[in-house]
Amino acid sequence: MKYKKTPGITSILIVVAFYLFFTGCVKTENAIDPESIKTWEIYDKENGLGSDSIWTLAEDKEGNIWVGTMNNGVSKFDGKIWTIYNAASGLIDNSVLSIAQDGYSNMWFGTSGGLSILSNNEWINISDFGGVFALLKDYDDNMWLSTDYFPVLEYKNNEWFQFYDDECEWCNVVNVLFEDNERNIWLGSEADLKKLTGQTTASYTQSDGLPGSGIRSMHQDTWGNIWIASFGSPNVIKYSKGNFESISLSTGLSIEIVNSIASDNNGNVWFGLRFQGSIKYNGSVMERYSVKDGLPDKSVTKILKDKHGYLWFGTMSGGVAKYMPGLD
Amino acid sequence: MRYSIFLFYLFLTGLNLNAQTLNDSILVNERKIDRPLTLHKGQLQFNPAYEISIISKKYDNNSNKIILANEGTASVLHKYYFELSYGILDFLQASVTLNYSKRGERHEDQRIWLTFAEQPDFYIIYFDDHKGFEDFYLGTVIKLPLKTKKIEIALSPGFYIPLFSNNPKAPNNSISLSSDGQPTTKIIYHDNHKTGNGSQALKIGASTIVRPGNDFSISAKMNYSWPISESESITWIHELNGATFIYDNIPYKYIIGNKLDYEVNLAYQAISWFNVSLSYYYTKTSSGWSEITGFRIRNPESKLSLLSIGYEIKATSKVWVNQFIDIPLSGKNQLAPFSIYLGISYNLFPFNKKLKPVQIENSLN
Repeated sequence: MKYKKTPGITSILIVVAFYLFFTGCVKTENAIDPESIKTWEIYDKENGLGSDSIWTLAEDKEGNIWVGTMNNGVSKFDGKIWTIYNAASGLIDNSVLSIAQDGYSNMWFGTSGGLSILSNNEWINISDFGGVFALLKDYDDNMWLSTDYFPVLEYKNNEWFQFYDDECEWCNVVNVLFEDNERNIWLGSEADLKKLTGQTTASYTQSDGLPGSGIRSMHQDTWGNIWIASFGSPNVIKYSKGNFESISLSTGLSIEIVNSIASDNNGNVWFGLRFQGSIKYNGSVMERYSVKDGLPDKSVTKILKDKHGYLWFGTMSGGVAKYMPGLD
Repeated sequence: MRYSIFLFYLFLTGLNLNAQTLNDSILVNERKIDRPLTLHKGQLQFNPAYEISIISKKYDNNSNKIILANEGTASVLHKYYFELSYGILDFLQASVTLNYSKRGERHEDQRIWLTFAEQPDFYIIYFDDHKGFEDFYLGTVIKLPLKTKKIEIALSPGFYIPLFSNNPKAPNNSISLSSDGQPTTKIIYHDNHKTGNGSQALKIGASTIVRPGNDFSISAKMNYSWPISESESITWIHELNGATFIYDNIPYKYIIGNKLDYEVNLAYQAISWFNVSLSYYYTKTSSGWSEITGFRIRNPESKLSLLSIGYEIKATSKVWVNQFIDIPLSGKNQLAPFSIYLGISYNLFPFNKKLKPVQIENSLN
């Protein structure tokens, strides 16, 4: 068989192939090792955390993780180093119950002894409220506080506004401040659950479907459901389209205490339990995560999802655990 | 689908009953080991094939062989190949390929205890359906102009185009809630996956054949493909509304891995119409990532090597039948399929002039 001369066609194709190869390759750096999925990183006093007893967790705009401890102030983690802020460095009290960042990037700390605000490395301490249990920055950058002496305070346009229920004393013991996707403000108290929509207030009690008294935590999931945990019930409440649905945590206990609720990026809802680690709910199945799975302590006080998607678990006596959830 | 291939073959047979062309004679005496790396100019080739794979083993991340049958999770893959090639010139061939496959895979059942009860609180069955067309392939083969028939070398650039969406369909989960008489909640998670990569990719390949003797040939080919862009798909999440599953999806991005594969083949032409061959095939996929719960997780490296034994029967000058079995030898992060492949190759020269019967005059008259 004779071949006709085809000057250059093979060379051209080789050049085109090499060009496509070097220009078409997609960069794959910065991908994480698959072995690191579902692994736990533990942070405690030994590696820089202020205390192993944790009340609360928060993330600021820069991605720093703030850990409120029960007895040594607050610790900030920038991804590498822990920095401790406590009474010795200006914080009003070492027991930090709540943390929030305001619209001006100031950090607010609710403590047993009052409110501390860290602004440009300066401390502003306010002891007039007594203990500050919960803090919330709403969509409009107003700050909400639940305190010892004033049930609920709103700091708006440099003024303080107080919310008080004249008819229900225990309704003024507010444990949870929460804003949903529709910008309603929810107040979870020892006796009821209030929803503030503009100037309108709706109050829900056990007669409306709340299974227990004493709201402990609230969270809105990927679907828009609002999850509510109350003291003294083995169930959690899913609030959707105006209905309260009671869902069993399936722990077999007559009373379960849910300290915190959070969602991961895959739509799973995580419950932090007072005595039984954590439970992941994928929409149909509850699955427990305990010390044998990697949690540093059986008592989970707070769960936080950071902007990357890591879940942070604050515990009663084991410090903090950072977890990368998997697909299952 | 098997019947479709058979009917397709019958159609082609009928199409060409009277299409004897000048170039048909090339194929009459051409044995398998004599075939060039590219089709002849004007040659059109249909290659439908069917492959059944029994997947009773897999290789884990440490290349250990896991017997799936022990877990009750063995599965069967059905794959249908459709390839159409055309010889544009004697050294240039164009091909298009579109394959379809389906496989049902059951994973190991899961029992979850949240309490200390005798029966589990949740009993979960996982079932994955993989079904659909793979990415469309458009490629060429260019034979280098060497002045010998003993050795041939060809290059084969091409690219993959995802003609069909690879977004999985919504799952078909079902649940049997616990009750007083039945403490266990039973759930079947039934996911529906597509089989295509859903990603544009380029491929460059090279092949060679050496004919050291009259009846032997040694051939080898190597391909390397890589993605040219990020792709996007969805993952499904669910929640229960009473005992009814409702679904929503979350988009995620991914990049398929770079794939290297090569094959070395030893063929023996036993008789003019019968050829046997032995092949070693190796494939490795690396690089790429997939977003999982917001994180870009690097795709685990996967490898697979196979031993392939087969034969080809030249049924007619236009119809060749080939059959192979593939035996897995080793691998990593891969299923280990034992496969039986049956293919038909149908060849014709549809655009060449047909031979006309000529009346031979009696010169004696």
